Amino acid sequence: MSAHQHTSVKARFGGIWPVTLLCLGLISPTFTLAAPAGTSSTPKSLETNELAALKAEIQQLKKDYHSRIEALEKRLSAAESRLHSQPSTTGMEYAGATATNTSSRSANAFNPAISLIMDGRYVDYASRPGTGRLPGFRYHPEYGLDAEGFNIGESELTMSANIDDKFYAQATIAFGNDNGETQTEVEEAYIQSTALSHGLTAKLGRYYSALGYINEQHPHAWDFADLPLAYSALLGGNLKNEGMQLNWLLPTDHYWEMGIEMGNGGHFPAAGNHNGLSSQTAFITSGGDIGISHSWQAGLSWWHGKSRESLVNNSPWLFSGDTYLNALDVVYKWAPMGNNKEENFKFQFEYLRSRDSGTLSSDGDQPQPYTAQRQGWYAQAIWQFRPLWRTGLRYDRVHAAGQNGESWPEEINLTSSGHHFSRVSAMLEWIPSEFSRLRLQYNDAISGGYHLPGQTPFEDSKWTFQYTVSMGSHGAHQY
Amino acid sequence: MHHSLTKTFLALTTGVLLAFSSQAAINVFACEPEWAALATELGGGNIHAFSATHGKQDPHYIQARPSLIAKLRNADLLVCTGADLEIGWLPVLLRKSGNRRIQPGQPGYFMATDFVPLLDKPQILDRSAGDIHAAGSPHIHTDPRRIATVARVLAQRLQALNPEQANVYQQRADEFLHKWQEAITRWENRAKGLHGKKIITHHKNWVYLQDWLGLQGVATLEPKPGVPPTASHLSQLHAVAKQEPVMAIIYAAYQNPKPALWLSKRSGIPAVELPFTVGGNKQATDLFSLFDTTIDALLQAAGRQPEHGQQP
Repeated sequence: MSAHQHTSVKARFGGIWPVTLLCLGLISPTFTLAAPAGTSSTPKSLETNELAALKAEIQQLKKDYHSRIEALEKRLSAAESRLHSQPSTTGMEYAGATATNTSSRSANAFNPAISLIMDGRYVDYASRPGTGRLPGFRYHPEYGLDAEGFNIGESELTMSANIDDKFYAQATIAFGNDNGETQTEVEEAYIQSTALSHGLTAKLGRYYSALGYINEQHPHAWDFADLPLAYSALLGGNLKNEGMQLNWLLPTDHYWEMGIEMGNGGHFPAAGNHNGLSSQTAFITSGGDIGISHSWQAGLSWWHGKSRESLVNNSPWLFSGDTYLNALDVVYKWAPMGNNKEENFKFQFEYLRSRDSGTLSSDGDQPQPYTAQRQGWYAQAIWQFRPLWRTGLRYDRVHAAGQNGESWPEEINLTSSGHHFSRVSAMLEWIPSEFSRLRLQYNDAISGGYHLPGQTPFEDSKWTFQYTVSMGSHGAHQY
Repeated sequence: MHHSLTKTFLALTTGVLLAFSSQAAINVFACEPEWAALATELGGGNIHAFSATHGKQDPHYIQARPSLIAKLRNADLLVCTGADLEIGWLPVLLRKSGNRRIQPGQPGYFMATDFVPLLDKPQILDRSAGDIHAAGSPHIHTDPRRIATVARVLAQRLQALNPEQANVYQQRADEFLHKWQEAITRWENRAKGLHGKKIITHHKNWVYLQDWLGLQGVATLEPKPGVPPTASHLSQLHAVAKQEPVMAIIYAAYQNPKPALWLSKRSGIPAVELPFTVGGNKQATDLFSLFDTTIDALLQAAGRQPEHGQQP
């Protein structure tokens, strides 16, 4: 074998070459042991110096092999340690064992997770829908009831991704139809830290406040087609915040989370242009498991926001002052053996209270002191009684009380007598997959202590048929 | 003699380490019991493994519960299956954990499917095909050869996270892999007769077991992945079962046994509940007994296979 051939073979069978040599090396001790035995039977005619030469030669061979074996052993252990860093092994091989999972390397490989939620509904009121605004409440300027008949509801376009090893970002743009006009709104657009430790998480941007429980949920995650009255009447929807949030998860085995938010106070129930931080939130949440089938979560939260000349119920009157919110939320979930695919149950309760303290003024008049208290609560139970089917029941109640002194003009819709309203809602859902849902809901307006002669009820009983579908990636839901 | 001395020395060292390591232990948050079991095999007393799910839970559908967030906050190493198996809950846990150590890209983030080739990668990604996993089937732990691969990489990860104990992890990994190789040979010998046998499965979560043992999955009880079995689909399967000699109808411990039992009753094909993971039945207390009992159940089914076309 020429030297050239030798190297080429070595290169081609580089993998097995050390093994082959090692085998030779392992055989060699047998050979060297056998050799002296052979010498004893050598005819005496052989010269002793010849014997010595042979011995020396064997010794040399032995030495040679020794060093070569040593070198080989070194190479083998190096190769072995390299092997350990690769997911492959002899004797445990399977198809494609040495293949690695390569993903696409195209230009759009780093596209964010994109999800489009589409919602549509058919609404039928028992008689006339009324104004949708209960007297005694200060409403979100854009608050209104669902339009009758077929309507595309609110669709949400969400994009999210890890920005780098420090931040995650998410943006949700909602677009819907309001009286024939297409409306677009940035529901959320925030960045969130992923690189803080010690249980700390920070958020910056516009986000749903951590107040209450349902507040952080987007409409597609609601269990009913509409928000509880406590939310729609007191907050006008999800309470948004534009600013920062700092969360701290305690290092305990039990779940304790607390946090604060500072915002610009630009979102209802706060309003107006502010310099600096005009809304603050504080919250504390706890939760845990009871056995393997039950789990719960409960929270307390506080919010304060400042209003500067905020339009009251689309009247010429303006509110300036402070609004305080307190919320209590309790959620309980049951899933047999922790499997919620086939059957599960969920109960949730929330209580919200708000207090306005400030002044009301209309054009050119002297501002008049104004305080008001409102509260609302709801309790709902959702039961998935078989795969793909869910049903739910909700009781809702809001109450406006404690308006002070003055009897406000009719146009402002803040008459001083106490009002309450309650309703019961029932729904049935068919969920063919995780990505689609059909829902039938009935809202029954059971009582309203506000009935004044000649007034229509502010919200009437109604049927809602709703479909919700999800396209693209669909992120995980919070508890 | 030398060997037993080494062993005694190791046992002593481990004992001493155990006594001192209560606070130094690596907190492992495993998404599924099989990875908690594997981490325990490799880490022994140097780690404290917690499994987010138990053997009778479907890992696809888990709530991002407060208790899990609290556990992940204090974890040093996250060991999950990956390949989108936990997509419905893990991302929320990660974002809420406030724990940098286990975020993607960090040494504490370990997805087992990143290190083994995956089967059943869908050719067409369309949700009309059901709830499919884009990266391929994630249920790799039903193939012990793939577990061996994961074990090797996981041992390195433990060494990297806890270099002071690197020797202990290496020693434990070597011992485990040696025992594991022996066990694989044993299981393969026992299961030789299963090669080429046809099975019907509830969900497509046995593809790696099938690949390993040469079992042939001819149909699933779910008409499409993630879609619950329907009466019409089961009737169709009944017709299929009449034409082909099917050895068993297989379902996981966490799955509803009714559809499998329904079809079994009508076709005479034995319905077999397999543990799917550690804790899936009483016998499956660790990875070794998991495969022991799985092979037992399959062989038992093969033994009482009815004559082709037999009706009860």
